[in-house]
Amino acid sequence: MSWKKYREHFKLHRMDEDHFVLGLDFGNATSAIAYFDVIRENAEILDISGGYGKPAAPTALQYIAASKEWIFGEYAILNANGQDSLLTGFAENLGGGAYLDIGDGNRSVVDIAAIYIEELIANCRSINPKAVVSGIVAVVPDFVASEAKTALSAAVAKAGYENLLIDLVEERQAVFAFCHHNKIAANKLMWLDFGDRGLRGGLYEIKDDYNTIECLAADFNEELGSAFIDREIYNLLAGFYCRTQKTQLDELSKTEQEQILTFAYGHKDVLLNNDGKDTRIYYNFVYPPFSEVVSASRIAGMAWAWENGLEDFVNRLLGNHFTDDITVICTGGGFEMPWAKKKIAQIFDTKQLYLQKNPKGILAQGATLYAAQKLELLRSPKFEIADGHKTQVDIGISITQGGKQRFYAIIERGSWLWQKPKTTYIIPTGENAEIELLTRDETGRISPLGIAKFKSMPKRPQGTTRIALDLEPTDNDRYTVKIKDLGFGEIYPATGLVERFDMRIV
Amino acid sequence: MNWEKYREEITAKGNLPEDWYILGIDLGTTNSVISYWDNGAKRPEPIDTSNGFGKIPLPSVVQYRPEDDGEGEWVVGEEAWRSIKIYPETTIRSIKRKMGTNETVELGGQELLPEEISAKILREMVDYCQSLNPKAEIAGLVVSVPYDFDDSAKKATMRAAEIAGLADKLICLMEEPKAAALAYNFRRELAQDEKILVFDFGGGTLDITLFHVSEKTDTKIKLQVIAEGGEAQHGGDNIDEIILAKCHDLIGEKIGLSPADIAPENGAELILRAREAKERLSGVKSFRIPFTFCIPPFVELLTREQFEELCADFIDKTRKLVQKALREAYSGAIYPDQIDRVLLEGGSAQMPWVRDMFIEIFNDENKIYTSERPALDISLGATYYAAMKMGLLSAADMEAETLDVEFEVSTPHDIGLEIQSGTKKSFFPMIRRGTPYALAKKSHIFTLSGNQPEDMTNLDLRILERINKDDNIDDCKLIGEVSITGLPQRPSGKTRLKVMLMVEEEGGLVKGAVEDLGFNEEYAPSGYNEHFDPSRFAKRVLGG
Repeated sequence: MSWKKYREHFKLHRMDEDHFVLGLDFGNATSAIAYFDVIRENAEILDISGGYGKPAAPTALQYIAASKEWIFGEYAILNANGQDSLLTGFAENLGGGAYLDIGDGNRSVVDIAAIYIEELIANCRSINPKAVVSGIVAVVPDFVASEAKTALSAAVAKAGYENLLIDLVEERQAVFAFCHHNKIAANKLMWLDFGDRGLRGGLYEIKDDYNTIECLAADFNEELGSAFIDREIYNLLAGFYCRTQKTQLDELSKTEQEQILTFAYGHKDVLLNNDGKDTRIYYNFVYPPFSEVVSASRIAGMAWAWENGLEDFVNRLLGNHFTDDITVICTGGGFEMPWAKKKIAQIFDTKQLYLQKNPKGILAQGATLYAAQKLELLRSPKFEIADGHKTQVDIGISITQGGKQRFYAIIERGSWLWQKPKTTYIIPTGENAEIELLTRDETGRISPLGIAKFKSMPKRPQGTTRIALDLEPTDNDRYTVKIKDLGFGEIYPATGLVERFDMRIV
Repeated sequence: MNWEKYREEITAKGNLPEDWYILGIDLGTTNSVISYWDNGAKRPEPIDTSNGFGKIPLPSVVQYRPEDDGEGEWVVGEEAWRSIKIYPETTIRSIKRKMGTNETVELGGQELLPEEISAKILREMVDYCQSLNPKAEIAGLVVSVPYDFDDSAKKATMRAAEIAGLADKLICLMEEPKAAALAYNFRRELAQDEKILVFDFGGGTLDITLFHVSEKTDTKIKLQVIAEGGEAQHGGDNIDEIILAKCHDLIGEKIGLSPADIAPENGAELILRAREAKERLSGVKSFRIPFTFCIPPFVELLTREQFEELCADFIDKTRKLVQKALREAYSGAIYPDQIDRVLLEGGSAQMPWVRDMFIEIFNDENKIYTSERPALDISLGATYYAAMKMGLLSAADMEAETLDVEFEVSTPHDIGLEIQSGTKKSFFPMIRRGTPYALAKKSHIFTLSGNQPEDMTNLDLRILERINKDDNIDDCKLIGEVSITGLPQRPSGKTRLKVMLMVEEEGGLVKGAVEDLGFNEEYAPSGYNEHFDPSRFAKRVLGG
């Protein structure tokens, strides 16, 4: 039965506890899943840690080729042994058409994501063997390309839930659904997400009880993601290991690396949460075992850069807005760390700060509430978002494919202004090695944006000039276009010529 | 201020002040959990003692770190568990299994009773809670105990609370399955007449409790215990021991080292490895156990299949305990098809064979439910109960839960007296297992006789608990001894004495009273009427 049929079903029959409406936060480092608690009419996080209170599980999979066994989440991390393939961070590869080596051949990232998602959803059958999934909403970061969204939909479909996927929603939509349902009253709402890939945030003006929402500011800083903490801790613990084992970091075997990775995973909490005290850690996995003391100042040093970065980040978002009429909601696993909580509490008054115990769970909870709204189990505001900080059209070039001309988007409509697309490499086929940039609006109409070409360029045969093209939005209708001559192999070496253009959508 | 005063204040204020904490504590064998009543959300919330990233439960591990100068340091919880290899001889775990016994542990030059060790765990959790809010005041708390705990173990738990400085805050003890059922009830829709088997499988104890929803309206639910079983010494720790024994066998086979030759710190590593193997094999089908301290070091693969073969006797015993509980239900045998759902609770219930075992017994996997938070539910349920006791769940103006919950819990064991008839001792049951707590107040009239004058003035009572139906007098556990003195001097056979035993509704502790009834019209009652609270440690002496 499709989710639409369930929607009709729930109009006639009260939804019971056997029906599960799910919100899925398939993250790059960790994932979480929530369900709609029909008794409390709220979204509840499904504890996938075996009941130990860690509702988010690492987005990790391990394939043991010998027994053809898939291992999930924390078990996969702890089972890392240098022999069987451990897959982590694969969510960010969705949409890239990539294949990953699982030790028994290659599998597409969509297939791998489907295996993980299937297992994640299967957890609801553990708490209720009669569970019937009746609708799913999955959250996606609002900066990912449409290919990644398509790939995530494909993964959910492959996991067996094609007709049950109600929608993919941007993370901020899940946050708005959460805030609306939990009556987090706000005139202005600042959303901060501390994920592994960076710190993201937005300042929104909430109007008419979340019916309309205006984006006042948005920003992203990839240097401030929690992955840097993981890296630092790994290096620290690997350093102790190398010193006692009289080896070098770059000489560690894969088995040793994965052992230290597992050890770092298991000790991250102890190190970061020791309340400003030195921490003794015990290397039980080596013989003879040894212990090391990690000083509080060392840990504080790791947090220092982030703490300073956060203040700058918040100030940029605030701009000219006053802090006193802003409610701040924090999401992302990074905010589960006490020092991160402490820092944000120093910036804002605790009364205006919404920081729940499991900030990682909010997105999955919000997605669940959004799903419940779509299934008409909850009243739903319109959530119409006016974005002044996103691109209004696709920007791209015309390419020839299969003998036909088609539009190739370099920046997709709806991308954040802070999103800098990757460099595009182009070999123009025309005589003048020039690149015509185009726009495509929401109706599909293509219009010229401008032409980027070098003022002076040595004469080369047609199709022998490789150009690096960088596009950077400076406003929602202005772009800086940079082209750089890369030459063509050894025959036509790069000249190093660089040209910059300021283009504006008319 | 004691908890009753706090309750009065809460009632007077009509609300729970922000800094007042109502707590529920699951004092477990392997892990302990503390939760507080979140009055804003109107539900209990576990307190993450790992301070964020780690698992919420606190390992029930107490460690003493001797210092050359000074008194040494006490370490409780995660840090103690992680450093067990460094302090193998002064790290105590699974102390709950010894609760109610007189077995002392020598630590830091002191002989400590199990309740004194448990008190440190309780104190650590409460201190942690108070560290989160320096203004925190503990208003009241409920501590859970296994259903199958005997009276001594329950009293030892109360004593632990007292040592931890929480005596006046302890509202009551609560049976763990009751707490689990309560937590589950507030999340699920239990229907009238539904029968739910709660299988609470912890580190040390297995509690099997069958609840019947005997009444269910929009505002009330009544849960009646209609069968119970399990064993106080049957839990995940036993599995650790089985794997540990296997590890010792492997070491013997590979390098010829006997357990006695293994250094304490390496022995501690094996304990860690055995636990790790058990936990990992719940999620993976094979685990490589590293024996890093052996010379030469080696790695041994243990598959889930091999693991389940190793534990076959234990698994079989578990199955039999379930079947026994159903067979010996209070009102006659109950068949699996009469049970609507099985709820798996406790960390040990996560082992895959548990679910497989139930599927085999019930032949219907659609009946097997796992709690959303199996490791936390006991504590959450205890907190619900504490909030109910503090008057928070019934206050209409607080938009709290709309249901009133009533439990009808029955005594799990026979309770009675030791009777001497000539040279033969026997157990005289006064309160039969299955008697609801509310009705567990039974009296018996004895006529005193004897050849010596003191036979008429003094009497020693031994109050016993028969754990299993078929146990003989020697297997019975002593609840306490009471020495009755100062009865009026009368001729033999002319004193009738009423001995009353009862089980307290909150926590199931045994209490009693003795009353002199005189003898017909010939000897009027002397007015001797004494109450007693038996203890295994000290004989209670009742003077007339």
